[in-house]
Amino acid sequence: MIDDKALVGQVLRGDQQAFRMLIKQHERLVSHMIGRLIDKPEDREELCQDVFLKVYEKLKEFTFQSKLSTWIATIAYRHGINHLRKRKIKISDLPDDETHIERFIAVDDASETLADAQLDQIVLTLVEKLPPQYKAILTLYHVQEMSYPEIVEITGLPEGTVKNYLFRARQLLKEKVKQYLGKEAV
Amino acid sequence: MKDEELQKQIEAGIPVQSNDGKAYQLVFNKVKQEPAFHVPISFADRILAIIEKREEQRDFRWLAFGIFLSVIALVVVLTITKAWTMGVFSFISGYPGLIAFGVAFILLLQWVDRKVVRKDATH
Repeated sequence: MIDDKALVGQVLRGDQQAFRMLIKQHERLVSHMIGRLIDKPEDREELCQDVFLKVYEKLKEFTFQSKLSTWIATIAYRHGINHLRKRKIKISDLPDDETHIERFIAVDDASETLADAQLDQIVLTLVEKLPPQYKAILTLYHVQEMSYPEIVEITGLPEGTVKNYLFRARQLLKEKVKQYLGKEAV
Repeated sequence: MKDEELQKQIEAGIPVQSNDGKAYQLVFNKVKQEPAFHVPISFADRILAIIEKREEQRDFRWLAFGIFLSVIALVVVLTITKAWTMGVFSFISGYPGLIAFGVAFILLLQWVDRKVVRKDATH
């Protein structure tokens, strides 16, 4: 695979095939990020498109201080978060209070949503219910296998917050899965 | 065992037999799955088409801006010199063939640049 520096150089010299390659190399990363952050299917593709148009526009400003994938993921994350903010959707609304957490893991809610779901779909369905920042961090860590410093750079959140969101997201998912497994056993 | 320790153990690949451990194992296995959304195969082509269209529009805007500036310059020059005559260009009338060739040649060069040179550089 062509390295980041050579690829960016070719794109900046006007080689559209190089940009096609850049898109192909990073479209999964961008679609995973946008796919997790944005619920509306009709908005997702357009946002992915906007991310790559922004990448093309801003590429001359990329200074190679991070990996190209980290830089592109940062653009995708911010684009997704800005989109949610414009629609006044809360991006990290998972306060510490017990009532909120209890609401997330409520049994009734689980039975309604998961009645006909297959076991392997349960967690994915639950992930979709998490606040956007939690979903983004889960995706970056578990799907993209990025390190904490990379996630910190992409999200702009302190490392402690990233670790905390990851821990809490997994804990909440575990609580809900445990309830579902308990119901199955009954 | 505390949740924090359970998460660390499962991440390290150590099996945990408790209910919490089994639930965590399921969570860890499933969050690794890719989200269902994927862009279509033609996605890159569509973006390149948008970029090409935008660049054409930008070229057109620069051309329009250039023509506008030329008209302004002509008006300024004619106003300052008060010479409302095209006398300075009168020599052109003696070489209509040369002027026609010049214009045609410049247009041809532009066409070749757009259709051949730029296309080769980007494909």
